[in-house]
Amino acid sequence: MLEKELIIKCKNGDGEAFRYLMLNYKNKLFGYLWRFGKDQFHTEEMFQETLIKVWKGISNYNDKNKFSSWLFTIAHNVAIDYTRKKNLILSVNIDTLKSNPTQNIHDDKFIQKETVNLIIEAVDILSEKQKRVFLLRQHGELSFKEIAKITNEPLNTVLSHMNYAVKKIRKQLEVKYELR
Amino acid sequence: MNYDEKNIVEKFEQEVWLYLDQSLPEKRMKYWDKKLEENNYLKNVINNIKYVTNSYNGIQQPILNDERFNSMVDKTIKSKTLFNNKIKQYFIKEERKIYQGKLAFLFTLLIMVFSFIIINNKKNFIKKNITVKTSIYMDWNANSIDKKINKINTRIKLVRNEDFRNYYYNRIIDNQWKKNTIEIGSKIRKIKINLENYKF
Repeated sequence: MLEKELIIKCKNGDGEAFRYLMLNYKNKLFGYLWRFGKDQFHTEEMFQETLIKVWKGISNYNDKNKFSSWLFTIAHNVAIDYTRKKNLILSVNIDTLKSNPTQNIHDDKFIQKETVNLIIEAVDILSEKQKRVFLLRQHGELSFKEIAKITNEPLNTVLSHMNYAVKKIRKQLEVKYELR
Repeated sequence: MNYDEKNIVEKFEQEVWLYLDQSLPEKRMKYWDKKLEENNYLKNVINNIKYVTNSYNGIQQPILNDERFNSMVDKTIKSKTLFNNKIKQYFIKEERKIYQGKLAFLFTLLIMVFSFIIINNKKNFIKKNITVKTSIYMDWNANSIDKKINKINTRIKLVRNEDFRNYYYNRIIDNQWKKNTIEIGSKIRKIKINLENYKF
């Protein structure tokens, strides 16, 4: 069933349509929220909150905008509110991350253990704005115009946040290779 | 890297994401395509980006198992009550827009009628309020007020009576005095006349 049809059904209060609609975004959304929640408990809480907000607000969703963009705007706001409310320090919990089973990732694509740690650490070191743009791009697969809309920042600012984010992560990785 | 190359790399870095998204104008896209063929530094910019993004995408992403996901969706659906849902559905459907307009018109009409009634009954409304208030006060301690009024009345009467009595008393006395002086005066005049008649 097309996404548009599912959305119309959701607007009419069809719970099953909502389940199917969210199933498509389940992992992307969960992965995005994990970067803020850092563990299963906090991430699930944020995920639940996002689901409720999407379900309650879907009647206000405008078909002219991309659904994923609207969804990640909600998720983004939930994540920001939640981390502030709970005063979560955005530290890395790599062990819990690695203990999770994976989907759609082939063995040959796996990068080395240290590299994983370094990338995650590098993402955590990013400033809040850089991190936000980087994660929305990677998890939400949104265009920069859409990210600019979500973050309420000019397009050029968003692009420079992304550039800095990539450069910082790259630097972290370079340090690792120099140490080797 | 010379100054020109540095400049081009900086410019490219500003536009590289739009280039990768293919959201730059066609002319600009072709311009960068050409530059990329010539300039290895520009190729490096793209390679670095791809390396970082691919590395990140290669990380194990945490997933939510289906069972947990379904229970969360069930909880979410329940959070929206049936009543709330039906009302929202009614107003969301596009075909209901006409009814919404009619409803809005009816509401404004009702408000107008209601306000008209209020304005017209404003005087009566105030009177009613006053009577209610006075009756409340009368009921409150009517007996004691009555007693006080009676006391005041009797005192006023007493004062009035006293004054009146004094006034008449004084008036009578005053008249008597005048009468007496007049009589004495006339007697003195008579005595004078008599004395004048007697010539010693």
